[in-house]
Amino acid sequence: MSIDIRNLTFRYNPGTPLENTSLKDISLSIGKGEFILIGGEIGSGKSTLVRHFNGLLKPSSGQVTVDGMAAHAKKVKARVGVLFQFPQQQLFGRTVFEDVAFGPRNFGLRGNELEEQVYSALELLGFDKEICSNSPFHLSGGQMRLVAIAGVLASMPEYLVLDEPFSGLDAENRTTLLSALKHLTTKGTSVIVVSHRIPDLLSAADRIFLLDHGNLVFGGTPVDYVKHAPYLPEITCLMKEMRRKGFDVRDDIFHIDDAFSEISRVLNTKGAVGK
Amino acid sequence: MTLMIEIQDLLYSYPDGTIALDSVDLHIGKGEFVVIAGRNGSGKSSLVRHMNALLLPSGGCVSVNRLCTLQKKNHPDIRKAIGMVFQGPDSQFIGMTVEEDVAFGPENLGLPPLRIRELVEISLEMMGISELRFHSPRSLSGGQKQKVAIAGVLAMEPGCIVFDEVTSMLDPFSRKDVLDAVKRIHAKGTTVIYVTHRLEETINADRLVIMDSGKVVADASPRDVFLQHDLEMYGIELPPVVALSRMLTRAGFPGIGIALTKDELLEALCP
Ligand SMILES: Nc1ncnc2c1ncn2[C@@H]1O[C@H](COP(=O)(O)OP(=O)(O)OP(=O)(O)O)[C@@H](O)[C@H]1O
Ligand SMILES: Nc1ncnc2c1ncn2[C@@H]1O[C@H](COP(=O)(O)OP(=O)(O)OP(=O)(O)O)[C@@H](O)[C@H]1O
Ligand SMILES: [Mg+2]
Ligand SMILES: [Mg+2]
Repeated sequence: MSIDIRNLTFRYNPGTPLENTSLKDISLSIGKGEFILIGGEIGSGKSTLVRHFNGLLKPSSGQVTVDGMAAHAKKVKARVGVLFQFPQQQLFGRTVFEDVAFGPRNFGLRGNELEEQVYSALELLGFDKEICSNSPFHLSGGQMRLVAIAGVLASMPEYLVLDEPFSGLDAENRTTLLSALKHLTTKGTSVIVVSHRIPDLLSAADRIFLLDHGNLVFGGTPVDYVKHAPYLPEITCLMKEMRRKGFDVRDDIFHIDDAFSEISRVLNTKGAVGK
Repeated sequence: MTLMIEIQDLLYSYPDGTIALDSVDLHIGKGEFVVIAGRNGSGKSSLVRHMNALLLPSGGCVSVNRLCTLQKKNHPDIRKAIGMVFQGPDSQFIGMTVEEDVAFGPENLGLPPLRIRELVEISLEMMGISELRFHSPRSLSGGQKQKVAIAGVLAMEPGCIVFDEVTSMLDPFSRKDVLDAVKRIHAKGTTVIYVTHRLEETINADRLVIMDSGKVVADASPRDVFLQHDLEMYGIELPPVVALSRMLTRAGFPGIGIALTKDELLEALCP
């Protein structure tokens, strides 16, 4: 069971003066239960790529298949849930409940079962039931994004594709969302996250893909990433610079706690700071 | 210092009864660079929307250049003085092309065409999007749209610009473009109000204001706020370097204190 992309090329406005090749010969696959990060500069093709996962866009050439079926096939719709980059594009209900219930209702859920699924998606993201009667448009920016995410979770897709889900979330909500997503991967859901905050998410990821001007330029594990990637976590940069200044510290670290132990260790053996 | 924005005992409740702001006092001087942070729903956007009279106080008062926002006749002057870049711009574009869209603001101010051309040029340049000038703003990527929205406000050269979470959809390089632009306009005397969840972007600010449940709970220099408050209590994460330096200090290593930047911490660790 996987999403498979073979030689995917995509052009916006083909055959017009505005033709723009936004994806160039991309091949990759994403397995069951994997936690995948997709990064790259603005305009590099991330959103264009993930819009192929549920058939919203069709390849100009190449193939995108989900569990062996073409991604735009009807049957695939229930398997792949997509969060758009701007939550306003996703919200339309009169109440939060209506909004979150839209997906699962579409897939045939009714009554208690529907209610339970809506509540559990909202609860997973830290909301009380009370939020259900609010208008989704009367929420703060971060709350709106979380409700939009709950709407995607409520359909319980097998592939969860989230375009910038962490953008605009505070630290607490980022932690809540990240552990909710990790939890889902343990149950076999594949989680695919587009983000500009890859350094912050490395410890959760199985693999990372980077795009550059529509080309796939990197695919690998978090450890490969800190070895090769263009922008590193600040903590990694700090360790690298300490090393350059003659401290015997590891420089493949991206977690503050690891940096703390490493620095404590060398400071303790040196006796005092800066000796 | 001349006062730019004066907020006194501000109370705001939305029509549905949600109290978004409660007893907020905030005075911002001309030329200051003020960062506002706080958890989701703490009232940041509600607060800044009072600064250009998009929202009007339910209690207390807000004035801009001594003009009270409760008086409707003041609104044109207030909106000319305060430019605002909103959270998550998606559908607020007017022009057919990026260039037209960015020119819209200065055209509205009635500036001469040559000056408009110059302002559009400079703003596109500052945002690094000159090559997108003939694109339709609707067919851009999320981050590209964000940059167009910022360029549009820069082109009007208002005395004060409010940025409401404008870097949350930008890559590290684009983020730097924006922070450099902010530094540049601040250096030229523009008042900057900058809402963000990423405190590592606030290190150059004069003041860091923390909101929680509609109230201002801290208002001091970034270093003093980091020293005096446990920001985790307000759902805020310290920048990694600040957090690391605090951990080392609390573990008893001398001479580190609170380092605001990587270089400061390196200097303390290996002088
Ligand atoms: N509807 C569209 N019509 C034409 N070109 C488009 C359209 N949407 C995006 N593009 C272009 O395709 C390229 C890739 O855009 P895409 O939205 O996939 O980027 P992204 O990696 O998601 O960027 P961001 O991080 O800014 O969201 C960009 O050059 C963009 O301008
Ligand atoms: N239009 C509205 N109608 C009713 N309540 C609203 C409206 N907009 C915001 N609120 C509520 O007011 C409070 C403050 O919201 P605000 O948008 O100011 O928060 P914020 O600090 O900007 O949050 P975020 O970081 O998520 O953008 C929240 O409880 C929110 O739910
Ligand atoms: Mg995108
Ligand atoms: Mg907000």
